[in-house]
Amino acid sequence: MTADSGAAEAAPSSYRTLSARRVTSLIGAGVLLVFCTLVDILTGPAMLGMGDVVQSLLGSQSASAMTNVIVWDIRLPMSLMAITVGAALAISGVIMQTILGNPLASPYTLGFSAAAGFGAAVVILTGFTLPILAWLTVPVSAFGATLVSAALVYGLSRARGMTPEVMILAGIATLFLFQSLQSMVQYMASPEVLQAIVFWLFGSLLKASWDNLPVTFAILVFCVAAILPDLWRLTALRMGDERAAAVGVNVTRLRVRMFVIVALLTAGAVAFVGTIGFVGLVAPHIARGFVGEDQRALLPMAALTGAIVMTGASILSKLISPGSVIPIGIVTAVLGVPFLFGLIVMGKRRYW
Amino acid sequence: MSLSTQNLTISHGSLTVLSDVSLDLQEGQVTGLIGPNGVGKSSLLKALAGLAPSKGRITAHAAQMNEAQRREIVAYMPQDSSAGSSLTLLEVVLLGRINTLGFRVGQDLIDAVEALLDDFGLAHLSHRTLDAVSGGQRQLTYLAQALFREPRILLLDEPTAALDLRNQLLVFETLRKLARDKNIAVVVALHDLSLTAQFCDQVVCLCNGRMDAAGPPADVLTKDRLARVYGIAADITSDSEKGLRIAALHAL
Repeated sequence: MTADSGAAEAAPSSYRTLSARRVTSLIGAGVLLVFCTLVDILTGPAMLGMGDVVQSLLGSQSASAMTNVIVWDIRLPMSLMAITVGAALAISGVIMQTILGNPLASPYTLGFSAAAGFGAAVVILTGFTLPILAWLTVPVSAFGATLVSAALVYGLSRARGMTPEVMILAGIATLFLFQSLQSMVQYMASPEVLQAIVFWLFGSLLKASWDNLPVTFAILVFCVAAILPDLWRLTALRMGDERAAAVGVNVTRLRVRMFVIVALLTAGAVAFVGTIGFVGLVAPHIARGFVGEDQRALLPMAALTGAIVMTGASILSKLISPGSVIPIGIVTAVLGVPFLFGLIVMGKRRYW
Repeated sequence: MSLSTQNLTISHGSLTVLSDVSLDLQEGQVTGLIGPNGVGKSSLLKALAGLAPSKGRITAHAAQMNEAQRREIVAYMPQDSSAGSSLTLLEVVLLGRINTLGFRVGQDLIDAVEALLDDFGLAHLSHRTLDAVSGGQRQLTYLAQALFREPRILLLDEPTAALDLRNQLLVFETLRKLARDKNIAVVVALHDLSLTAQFCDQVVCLCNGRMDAAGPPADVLTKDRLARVYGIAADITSDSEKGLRIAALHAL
């Protein structure tokens, strides 16, 4: 006991203490998210006064029409999209890390982001638009390409038994394939088109609107509902395949089902706002550091953490160069990396 | 509940590991499964547990059962417990009842897990992660998980491989008591012939892809058989007071 008493401080004395600690973490994260969201809505290139924004949010008659438009039609969808996408990517990250048994896994490990980027780049290059729903062309193409890459990874892995190693290999191969195709499209594009493609690839919340927010949100809700019945089975997977099977988990079926859900969730998250990186990698690790491996607590904690990181990045993206908004995809890593470093260096308990 | 096999054949791809195994595993008894490395002890346990395919019949209480049905009544503990995990000991044991766990876990269930951990001297570690405890403690944790399933049939693959002598005795005493009190069939694959002689009611010996012998320890564990199966010279003594004693002397 003496040799490792340093680690003992992290171990709670009873299950009740542990549960209380988890609930406290979740509530704390919730409060922080509400605070970050308010700050996010209050900041922006339009330099609105704090009082005006609050009045507009509360639906006060005295708010000017311009303030109302900025707050309700630009900032609010952006903030809510940040929360939705952050939560979706973080949940995808948790599931990916769990089913692949790998701390480096993220929603993008298996090539989904490269495929989405390719899908978007192709229609931006060709100028093809969907009839009637022209504004949906790029998202639908990105979404479709993501699902195609998922089908490719699934098909390749299926041939060799759906083990994590095979899935990662198939995923990396798919990643390189779509990255090359995407580079080819970029190479063929004119400078103006190239700029549009690169801007999409950065990932930006500016594309958020009341039209696309409900779509991403609905996909998130659907996927979470599909994950909930398997929380214990996902927790069991952290014992390793053989031991999970020994307690009665059909490991292959679980892995396939979760893979499909993650593909859908990731496609829904990136289709409208582009490939925003890092949240899906870092949020699960931060959450794990607070609540441990039990997926009943880890999944909601990761979702909150992802939303916080995303919202924080959104605030930062508006503060770095006043009067403009830097694409959030550039900022997420800048904000997330120190978090992760801190966790690696300061963390008392081992969480992988 | 008793478990029987008739003409069971187990293959890995084109390689036949075991063929024609006909066994009778009795409830209330501890059965020792012995044989040299690679003979198919683990494969047999996995097949019995419904986790690996096999040809032939496997019946429980005379009723033929498919793999899914067997998984319901059997608890199987895999061999290697060297890999750590970031799950806590309590979580690992709790997962033994994964099929009945709801979103909320009642205090009575937690108390039951902690009592079980206490039986193996692990109560003070219940909220440590598996990475942070020793290999032997991991093995005991996984054993507690298998017991927590409250199975009718318990299949254990080398449950004492990483344990000190006291814990080896403790585990086998627990298993024997469990078999008697709860009337379950316990099957243990192991290499320690002394423990086999001391604690098993029945011994099944595998050799060269077949079942070589099955019966009471005194009948199965003979000098000739140990020489043939393991290639060892052994000193075997038996008296009414101390029971069967086996000392391995040297490799042949």
